[in-house]
Amino acid sequence: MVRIIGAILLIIGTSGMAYTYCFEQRLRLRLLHKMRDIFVLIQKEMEYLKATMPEICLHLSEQNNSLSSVFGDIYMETELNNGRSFNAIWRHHFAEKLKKEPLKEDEKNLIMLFPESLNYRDSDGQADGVKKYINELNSRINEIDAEIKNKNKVVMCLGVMSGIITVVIII
Amino acid sequence: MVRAEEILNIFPGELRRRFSEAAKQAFDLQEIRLSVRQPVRIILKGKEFFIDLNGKIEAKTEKAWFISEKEIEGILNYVCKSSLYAFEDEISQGFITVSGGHRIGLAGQAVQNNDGKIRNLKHIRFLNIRISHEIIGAADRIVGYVFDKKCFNTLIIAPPGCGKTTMLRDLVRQVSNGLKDEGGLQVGIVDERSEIAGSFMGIPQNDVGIRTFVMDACPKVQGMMMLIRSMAPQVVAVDEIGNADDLKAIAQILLSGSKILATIHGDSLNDLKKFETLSDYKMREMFERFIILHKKGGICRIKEIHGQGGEVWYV
Repeated sequence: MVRIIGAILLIIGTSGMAYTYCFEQRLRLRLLHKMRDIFVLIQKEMEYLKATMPEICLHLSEQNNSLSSVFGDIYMETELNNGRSFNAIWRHHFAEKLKKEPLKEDEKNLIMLFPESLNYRDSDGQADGVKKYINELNSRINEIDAEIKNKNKVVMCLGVMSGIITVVIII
Repeated sequence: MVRAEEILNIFPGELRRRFSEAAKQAFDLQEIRLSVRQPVRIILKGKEFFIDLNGKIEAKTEKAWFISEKEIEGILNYVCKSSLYAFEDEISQGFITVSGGHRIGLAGQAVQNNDGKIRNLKHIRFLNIRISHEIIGAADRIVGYVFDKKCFNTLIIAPPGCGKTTMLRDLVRQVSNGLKDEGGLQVGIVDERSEIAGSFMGIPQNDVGIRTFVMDACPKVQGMMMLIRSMAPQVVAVDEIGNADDLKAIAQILLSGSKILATIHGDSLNDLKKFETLSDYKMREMFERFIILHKKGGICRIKEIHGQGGEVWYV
């Protein structure tokens, strides 16, 4: 009886590990989707409202999502006028926020270095600059989407299989 | 009163230390002039000084701090909060107004449209930071001539740097708030260069009175017409009139029954003639009070006040 329970727990354990990995990949994809939507909003605000980045951050902080607090923090710090540039403020707060997120380093850098692209002197040009960012994120999302669909099935199978194999070896 | 903090807030962190000495003299500080690869200059009480790398104010250029392109760009980016695109219109007009009503004049390479109009500025390498000096009570000595039971159409005549805008701003404040025995009037300001109200993000940074609307960064003629059509002001205030279209718009305001407070460049009433040749309108007939300012001993003073009928008052 104990052996059966042990075997079941082992299989659940390895399957759980596989599930956690798959879940993280889905979270990563969801976060990139969210960032893409945020960049679309930023683009629209630049194009139609000519809003400054702190104003845009304020608007984004008023939305109810997991990133609203980071935009609120960025807005608050720019309002303090403490001499720190907007680029540095954005980088600092996003570095903190993304520390525990399941994104790859280059994906984190893509988000953190966004203010570097804020160098256009007209709203149309700047909106186009953000569009490039959106396109970059879109291609990442498509890649990950395709990758996850296949990879997740394999990972889940491997998780269950490795549990069964371990049980067989141990017994 | 200008606050040192407001001046320091114009600069990004690493440059603040260098302007801290100048900012301490905020009340006397008139301008900070930055030209690429040239010494940083400040104008204190009408005299030019230089700033060294430690922020010390020097009379000579030997130890002066020569500002780089990167530092100028850093200031511009900081002022615009990394959102230069949002200041496109202001930049194309050659200035940005910042919190506190201070105005930053810009010069660089102009980018033109096909029709020859300036669309934008690139390679901005020269900044002239004009410190806003709101002087509450600047118009105390003239307000009685302008606002006595009713408001008189008034033209302030003065050469550049003699305090026309400061005088107009305080006049607007007093007319808007009302005097001891008089209730205030509804005033509309057309602030083409954001100098009167010093609006930042639409909020007046200077005290322009409780009954004042501000049409900020709006061309004078269009702004005057918009105010008349939509806001029904009893008094319209406008800075630096001068061309035929301005006079035509003022005539429209007077026809609609509103009063006008305006300023113009000049030294005397005779200087109005050259403006009058540009249009069919006679300023002597449009305005009821002419306040002439001049600079004496480095201080801006009221020279004389003329009435429409030729009467002259010396204040």
